[in-house]
Amino acid sequence: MDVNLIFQIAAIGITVSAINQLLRHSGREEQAMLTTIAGLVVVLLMVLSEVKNLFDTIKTLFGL
Amino acid sequence: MPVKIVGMVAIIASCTMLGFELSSHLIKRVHILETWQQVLWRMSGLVRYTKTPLYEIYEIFALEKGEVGAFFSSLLKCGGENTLTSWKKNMGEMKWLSKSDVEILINLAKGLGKGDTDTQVKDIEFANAGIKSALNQAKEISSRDAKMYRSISFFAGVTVAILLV
Repeated sequence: MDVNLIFQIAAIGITVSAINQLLRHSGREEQAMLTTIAGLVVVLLMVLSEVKNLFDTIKTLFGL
Repeated sequence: MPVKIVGMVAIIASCTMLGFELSSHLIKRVHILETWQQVLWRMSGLVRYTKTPLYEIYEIFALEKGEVGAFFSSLLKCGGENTLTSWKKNMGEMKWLSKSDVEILINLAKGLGKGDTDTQVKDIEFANAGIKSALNQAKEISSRDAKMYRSISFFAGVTVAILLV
């Protein structure tokens, strides 16, 4: 796994939390929540291939 | 590597510029509404005390700077058309205003130049009250959202740049 992925996820987390705070302060709670969910989905898409690799490794390891 | 950095900077800069553009839109609306408020006060005085004809009122306000001046200048070029039609046609100059602001001005145009002086003054004062309330609303929105647009656009740019790297 590329270590850059971890840094990317961390950076996205920071920016999404900053956007979230800004939106909350201007009274847009719904949009803040949508932004958080969008960030989560983006991160999940990024780690999707890694999760697939993990399941494949487990399958190979246990001969499933 | 330098190409990537240039690309990231370009993305962040363009997103930030977009945010600044959006926030300037809000600020511009406040400025235009303030000008309209002044114009309507003066227009009310001109109609009430000096009974100035509408065309001369247009000439006076065409000297105003900015969009409001441009609007009255274009009204002067619509000689012969009725007030409502010419105001509707030239509302394109007021692209920074919201639909409700434009509606207030259009409603004013319906009565302007028709009826007696008192009715016209009442119409202008009614429109001015509407503009005043729209101005207060615009000021509130501007103070709340302008900073937010600028900050969010920067962070959105950073997020996009990170995703693309």
